[in-house]
Amino acid sequence: MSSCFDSDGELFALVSKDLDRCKLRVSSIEFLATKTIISQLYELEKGEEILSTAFASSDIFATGKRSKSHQQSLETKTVAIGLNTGKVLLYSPANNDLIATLESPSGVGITDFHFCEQNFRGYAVDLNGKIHEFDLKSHNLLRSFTLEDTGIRKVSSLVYEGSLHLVLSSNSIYIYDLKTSSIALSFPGHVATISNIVIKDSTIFSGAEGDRFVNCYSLTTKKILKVVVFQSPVVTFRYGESQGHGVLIGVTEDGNIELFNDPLATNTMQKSSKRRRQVESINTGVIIDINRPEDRNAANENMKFIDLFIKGSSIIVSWMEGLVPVFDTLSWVKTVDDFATLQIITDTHLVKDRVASHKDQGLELHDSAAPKLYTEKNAVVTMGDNFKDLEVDQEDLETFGDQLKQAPIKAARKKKLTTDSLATVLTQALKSNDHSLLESVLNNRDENVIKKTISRLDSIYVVNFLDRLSERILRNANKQTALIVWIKWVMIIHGNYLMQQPNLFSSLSTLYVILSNRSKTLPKLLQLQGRVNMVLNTIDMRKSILQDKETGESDDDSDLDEDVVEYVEEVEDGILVEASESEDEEMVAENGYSESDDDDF
Amino acid sequence: MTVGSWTFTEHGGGRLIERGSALSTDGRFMFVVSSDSLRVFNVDNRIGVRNVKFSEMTVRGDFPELDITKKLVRMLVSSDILHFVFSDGHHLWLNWKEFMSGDLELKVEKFQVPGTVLDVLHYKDEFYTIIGKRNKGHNRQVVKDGEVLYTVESVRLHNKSLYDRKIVFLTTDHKVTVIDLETNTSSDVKFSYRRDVMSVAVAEKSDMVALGTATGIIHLVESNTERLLKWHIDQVKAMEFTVDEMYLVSGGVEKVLVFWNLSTGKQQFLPRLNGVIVDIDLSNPELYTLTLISNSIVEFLVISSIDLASRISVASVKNRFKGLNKKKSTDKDVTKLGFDITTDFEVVKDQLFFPLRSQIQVYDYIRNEQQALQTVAPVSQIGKVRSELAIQDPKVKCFAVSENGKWMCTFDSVPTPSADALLSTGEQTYSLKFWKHVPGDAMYGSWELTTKIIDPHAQKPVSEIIPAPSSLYGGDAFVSVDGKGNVRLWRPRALDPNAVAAANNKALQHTEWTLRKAFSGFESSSESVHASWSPDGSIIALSHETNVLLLEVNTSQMDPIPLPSLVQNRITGLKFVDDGNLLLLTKRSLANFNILTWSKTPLNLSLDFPAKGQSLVAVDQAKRIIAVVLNYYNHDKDIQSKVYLFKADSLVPIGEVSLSKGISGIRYSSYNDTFVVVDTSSMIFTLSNKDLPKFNQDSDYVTEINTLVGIAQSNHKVLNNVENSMDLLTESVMLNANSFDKILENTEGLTVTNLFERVLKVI
Repeated sequence: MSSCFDSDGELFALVSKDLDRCKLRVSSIEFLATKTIISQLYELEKGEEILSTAFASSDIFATGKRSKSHQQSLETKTVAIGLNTGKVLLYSPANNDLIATLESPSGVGITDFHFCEQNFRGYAVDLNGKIHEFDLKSHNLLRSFTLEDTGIRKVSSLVYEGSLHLVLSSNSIYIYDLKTSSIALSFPGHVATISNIVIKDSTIFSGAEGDRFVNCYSLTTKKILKVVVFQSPVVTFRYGESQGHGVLIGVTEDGNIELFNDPLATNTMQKSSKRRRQVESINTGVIIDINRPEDRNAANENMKFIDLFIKGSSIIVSWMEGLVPVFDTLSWVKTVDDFATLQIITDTHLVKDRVASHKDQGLELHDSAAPKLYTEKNAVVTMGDNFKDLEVDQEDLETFGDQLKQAPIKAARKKKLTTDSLATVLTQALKSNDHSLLESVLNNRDENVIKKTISRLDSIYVVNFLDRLSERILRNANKQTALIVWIKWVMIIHGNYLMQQPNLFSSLSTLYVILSNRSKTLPKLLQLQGRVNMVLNTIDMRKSILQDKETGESDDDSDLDEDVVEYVEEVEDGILVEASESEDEEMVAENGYSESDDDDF
Repeated sequence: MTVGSWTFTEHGGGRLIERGSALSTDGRFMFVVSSDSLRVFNVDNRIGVRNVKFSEMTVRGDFPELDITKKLVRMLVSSDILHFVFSDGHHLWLNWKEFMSGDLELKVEKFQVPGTVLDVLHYKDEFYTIIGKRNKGHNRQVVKDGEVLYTVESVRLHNKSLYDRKIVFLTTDHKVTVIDLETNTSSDVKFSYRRDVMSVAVAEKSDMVALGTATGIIHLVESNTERLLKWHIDQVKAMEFTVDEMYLVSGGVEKVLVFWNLSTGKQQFLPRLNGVIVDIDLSNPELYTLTLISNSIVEFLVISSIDLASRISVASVKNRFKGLNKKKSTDKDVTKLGFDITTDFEVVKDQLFFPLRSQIQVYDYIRNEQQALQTVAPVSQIGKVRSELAIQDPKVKCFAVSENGKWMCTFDSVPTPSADALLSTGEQTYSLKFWKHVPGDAMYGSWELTTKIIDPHAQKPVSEIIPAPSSLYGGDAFVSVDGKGNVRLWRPRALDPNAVAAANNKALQHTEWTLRKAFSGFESSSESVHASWSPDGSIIALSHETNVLLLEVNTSQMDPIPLPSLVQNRITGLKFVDDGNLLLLTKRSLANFNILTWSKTPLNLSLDFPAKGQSLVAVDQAKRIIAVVLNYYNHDKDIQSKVYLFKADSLVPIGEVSLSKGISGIRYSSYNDTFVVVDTSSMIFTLSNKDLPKFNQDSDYVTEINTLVGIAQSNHKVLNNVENSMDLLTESVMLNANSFDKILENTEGLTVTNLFERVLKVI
């Protein structure tokens, strides 16, 4: 994302990429705008990319003459857009239209463009390091030239020794004399390509890509003056002066702003004492960061400054709110002290500005005009037949069963029952809450055994037992069939006792949920069965019709006669009942020793 | 006629009108016309700044009473002047800057027009009117100063360009004519007709014309070359070119705003709008105004052209009427309406809650603004097209809000879509949901779902939900009742404070609502099952057909106490007036039963009530005042209404107020101590009596007696008035053979002495 402010700090141009399109958004810095507010979006052709943007530094395109007031009118503000196709578009935000297109002959991406107001020329640098000079009145290419160093990416201009020079930069900085077409001066620069050059009188500041250092060179001494060290790589920086104080302010890669007070002020002490080749460096800057207020999930949003502009004693800082750049001003110098006091700002007030027009815009970016969507985020979802929390009458809490438990008869009664081993085991399991013991009992699948065990089970354990059973069914859906038989016999044998129990609703709620859910599917399954049967019957019928056709309609009647079977209900049922009864008896006989063999599942 | 000092205060509400919106030229204010008033909103902070009724404005000039809602053709702003143009040619205007500072003067003129004005154009400070008939296929004329400039025959549709320079007409034989007011030329545009055209648009500068068809394809005609823009799959309802004519913006049934880049054909979308897009206005390059309609309720949305975020959304009251405007009565009985005009709503504090299909709207009637629109059931946000229409959305069947406004309970049913021949076709999934109010910073806040209970009454739908009175559990309880009279009491489970403190997990901090008490009702299922909670919370009255049970809340099984049979017809509603008096409502009568004396009180009216008559009766439990709404036909067969105010122990109303429109519902707001009324045009009124004496303990006897005397005197007046107006209430006071029926109606549990007393009372 590349961006730039115009020379008055009134307009801000920002390059963004939506889908496959490059867009240039030019917007007025609203709180400063006394005139019309501009907010334009210029969309480029497909495949075109913006490599650089630059505002015309004065009203070159106004009338040719310099207006008396230095205030530029918005109408004449122009942005140069350097494209990857080697074109430079001169764009007027006020009209949202192109003024002219400057074409470089090489057709290689333009990395920088400079409006030179002294000679009304425009200088463009392309990716091959070629410098193209344009006449800004006729929009014609005047000449193209290269230096020995083909890594040149940035161009700027200054007046050096009374005549106009270009400042060209690759890793190093070259001061290029336009008259003689030769390099007048050069500075060794950075390891990486220089991405930012700021010229203030006879001082040049340079910053490179991914570099924490900003170098200050003096044209008078032709030497490096100072190195300003940021805490993280500098994206862009500016130098400003107000009331005799200078400040170097930069935006770093992690989105913070760092301020360095009077970077050019020379420490006289050091100068006199040591004339070593060591360059003085400044390490401590003031950091301004931006955040959402605490209660708005500050950590989740990574707020970053994207650009800044120094206007007198204030800084215009800019950051993104969604797709739109937002601005605020901060004062970098306090007038009360004789030296500039710089503040670290926690910018809750910045956020408030934004909230005013985007109420309710929380993390989900919910638009307040849209209806609140239905979400089940953290909600508890239960069924209507969950009776767990059903309230119980306090005075009824002491049930008959409870009283019975405490009664001394219990022991006597229990002894009587010890004869049946399985029932005893079950009682013990329930009493001691022993799961493995219970499991061994429940492994019995013989319905007759189940029936007899249950009939010998003391009623006071029934509720507990049912609860255990329903728990098991809930946990393991595969064992259900066997367990359901247990439930069935509990219901049949101890139904009478259960009916007398108070609060049965809440104590057996899980069982109820299971049973009601299972029985709910029955009608549907029956319906499905009916349909499947019908389909099968139809298929059968069709098959038989087809067969009939194949075999010919010879002996219809005889077939029918064979198929007819007389059905006598009583006879059939009688047989079945007998059969089942005899089976039961057999099972009982086996029961004594089949107990231990049954745990094979 | 107003008896006593009961008066209606109008609070706005009403519906918005299509075409009834305009933005000021600087985009800072938005003007919206609702049923009877002009409302001004500040776009920057989304706040209503002015709300002035048309009746309060003075009209300078000759202007008949107009039905603004039906006759408004266009609203437009040119510099400081806000214009209204009506279909009969009247043109009203006002300086909105002066209007904002309190000058309520409207100026009027009348265009010389030979017919009905369909549209008006304002180009270069001249007004051009389009005359014709709304029906498709009539001639339309462009008229300026009474002079017909152009006539286009058998026009189906027309539209104007962004700044009114051009008008495009589409004729029934699929010809497109463009009239340019700048050059005073008319030209024909050719396009290949394939399917019905639903909307047209014309560019201001270039010669582009767009035609949106019923099947969703947009024909873009430019210098006789034609392009097809395909994305919509159903009717394109509205189109407009942007100022730079780089884009065409279209919208339709899908509820998606589509931006067509005309040079590349690429689209960008703004989906999930609140309704079907029926109009797009891009005349302000920074703010786009959209007109949305859902459930035939109009809503305006202004979005920023830069980030497409909403700047302001103006929505009206979104309520549904059971069956409004169906037919007029032919019955002789003037109080018997041929249809049900009631509407469902609740009032808590300053907010009215309106259910609308799967949404609940929270509307502040004091500020006259929608405060929240909460979707309470899973529903598709995208407009349905074609076969998707078969998928039914869940509907909120009933809901309740606790008196403290902290909890809301909604019940909705989701039908299984009949997409394939599934076995589950036609089955409903019911869910009862409990919502917690999360207060916002300055705004109303939002509702958050805490518990969802699937099939709360097994496979039976809940027919009514009532909130607990604040005297019980602090009001944090709801009771749901189903058609069999099964009653279930739900309460939030107390949070374990340790667990909450320990768990940072938000899910664990959620309150779960659980079933606490259940009462199994009757064998048979009925449509008319109602319940009411006594003010002290100890008793729930439950009605099933003609039976009434009193349930003791404090017992775990909610032990029932049957009431004697009190009414002949099935009970359509019941309400506790106080701890003791229970109001019973049927289709034919309104009766009050005193539980403590076990007898009916003299308040016993016979009148015609709709089936959902419960929403036409409200009770102020603190002052024990019963408000009964009576809708009736006047001589012109228009619906009018009266509200009678009763005390539980007297048949003589203590107040009577009338309204020239039908009343759809009345509720009592204890927060503001008023009755809140919604009429058939969705207007909101409050009904209050500021002069009603309050018997607090500080007042001395002299003043008390004085006020009592005053009341007695006014009652006497009322009585006289009532005798005149009592023709509406057909109450028999004469003693006849049927007089004693009442006594014998409920003899269960009655002693002989009581019976004797009753007989004496009648005599």
